[in-house]
Amino acid sequence: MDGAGAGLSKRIIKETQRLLQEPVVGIDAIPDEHNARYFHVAVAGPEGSPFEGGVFKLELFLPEEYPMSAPKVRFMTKIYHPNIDRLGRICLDILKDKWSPALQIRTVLLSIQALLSAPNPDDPLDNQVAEQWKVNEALAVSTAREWTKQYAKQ
Amino acid sequence: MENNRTEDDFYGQLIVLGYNGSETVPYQQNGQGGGPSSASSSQMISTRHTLRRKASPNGVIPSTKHYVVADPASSASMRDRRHFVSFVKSRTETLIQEYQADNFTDMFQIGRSTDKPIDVTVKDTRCTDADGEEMPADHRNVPGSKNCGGETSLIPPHRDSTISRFACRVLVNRTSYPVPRVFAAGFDNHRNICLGEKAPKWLTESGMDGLTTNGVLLWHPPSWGRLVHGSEAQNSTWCQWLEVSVRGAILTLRSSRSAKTRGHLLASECNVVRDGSLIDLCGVTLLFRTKEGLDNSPTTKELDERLASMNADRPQCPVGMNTLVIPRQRNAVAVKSATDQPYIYMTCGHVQGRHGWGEQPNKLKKCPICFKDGSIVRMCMGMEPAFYVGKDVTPTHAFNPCGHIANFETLDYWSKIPFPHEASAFKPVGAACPFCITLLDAKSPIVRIIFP
Repeated sequence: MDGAGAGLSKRIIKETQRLLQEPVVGIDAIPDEHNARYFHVAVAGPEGSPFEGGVFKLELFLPEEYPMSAPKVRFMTKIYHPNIDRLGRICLDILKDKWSPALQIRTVLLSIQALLSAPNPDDPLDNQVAEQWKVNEALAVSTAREWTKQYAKQ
Repeated sequence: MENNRTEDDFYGQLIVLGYNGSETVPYQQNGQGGGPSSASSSQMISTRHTLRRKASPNGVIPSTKHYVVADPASSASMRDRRHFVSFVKSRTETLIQEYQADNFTDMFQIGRSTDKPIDVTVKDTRCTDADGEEMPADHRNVPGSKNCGGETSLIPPHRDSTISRFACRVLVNRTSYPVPRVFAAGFDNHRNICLGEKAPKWLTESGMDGLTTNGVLLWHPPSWGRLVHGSEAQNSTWCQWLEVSVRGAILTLRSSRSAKTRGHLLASECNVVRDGSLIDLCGVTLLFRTKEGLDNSPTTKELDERLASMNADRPQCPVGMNTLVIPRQRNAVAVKSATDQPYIYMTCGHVQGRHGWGEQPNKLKKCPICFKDGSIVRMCMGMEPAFYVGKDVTPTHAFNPCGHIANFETLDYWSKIPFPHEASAFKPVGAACPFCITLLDAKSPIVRIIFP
């Protein structure tokens, strides 16, 4: 109803300004020059995780209905993670049924960063990786570390 | 007004419940007895009435003179324009009780009439239990219903009033310690009070007494902002609605508001009103505050400053990310800039702007912060200082379901006072918001508000 048009694109402007002015540590989100709804994102692998030392590129797109529906986020960098598949798609509840317009780009990216720290093989997107994580976690972690070195160099 | 409270002639103030600090409201009086063609006049009436010592005493008290006549219109009292009460016993028998001037009291009359004998004109302020915006569209923006801030102007206009044109009178002794007393019924243009054949009447040691059709009810707290509990409640009549008679006797309530049998006389009770007393005239309720009570209340300026400082914090809608502005009155601002209007999710108390997310089939909305379903209501500052209880008046809670905000003590107090409402359904039905006379939700009358 009211506030659907002008108010909410105003929201995107405000979010963008804040992301640039007060960036989150370990996260870069830069809007595309040609499309204000498309963000080039880089997330640093969290300390203590197998992804430490890597920088992971993501793309984030705000659909027409944003913030009434969730942003679309995808890993561009190859990553060995039970909740992220080969195409970079992410299994994260807030990007699906747990989305709320009270969430923001910032909170979504923080949640993704947290997902890197705490892989959840019980709710997998990539079954093979998840299986490996359950059967032999040490091996999985070392694979993840390998991939990080190989694909997520700074 | 509040800046003149220091004067010695200040007896107290009567504040009409339901107008949230608006000083005047439009009043349309339908032509009386002139049929549908008679023009109705419109004027502004005040919602706060200061009772002050009059230039000369005008109180009247019963004299020893009383007699029975067949036709009161032809009685000597009528001819001489003396004050009297006529108790109609039958079509051929009416008892006239004459009243005489009392040099020690001032009299203030309250009623629906705008005629000269009435000092305080009141109109129906019935409960509206719907948020204006959630009402069907055809109820909104009624042509000609320009809103001057009166919160209750959405009431359907054509409803017979249950308030008497000459409803009650307050007598105050003209000493340095004014003691206001309330009596049922006011003297009309002919200086007459007439209790019809059907009105409850009885004989006392000092003469006839009686009740008016819809009755005048009183309610007293032990002190402002305090309620009684437990054994204290059982052994006192504090915080109980009682009825007052034409002579000022106090009775328990009738079985229904206008029942023909009176309640029990309570000999130990008197009709004095104190700080915080409520006077209910069946359709409108007034609060009495003393000078001391008002001196300890916040001022309008303080409430304005409090509101300004809350708005200066620039509360933001977590969805629209736009700044919200808490209004002083419900309708005025919401119409002008609806996107600024803060809404309260009544189940969880989260404050947000209006947005389209979370619509549920049953008119409820899911809160985007906590995912609880609930109704949403426009937030509005409680602006009437005389209704406030407690020292820190920072609003922390809202009345459910109207959305008026104030400090917890104020809301807690009012949410525990049951209101007598209609003439037909008499039993005190539940508490109401004093700022707008909306009946409160029985289960959760108040909600803690949470700013994003």
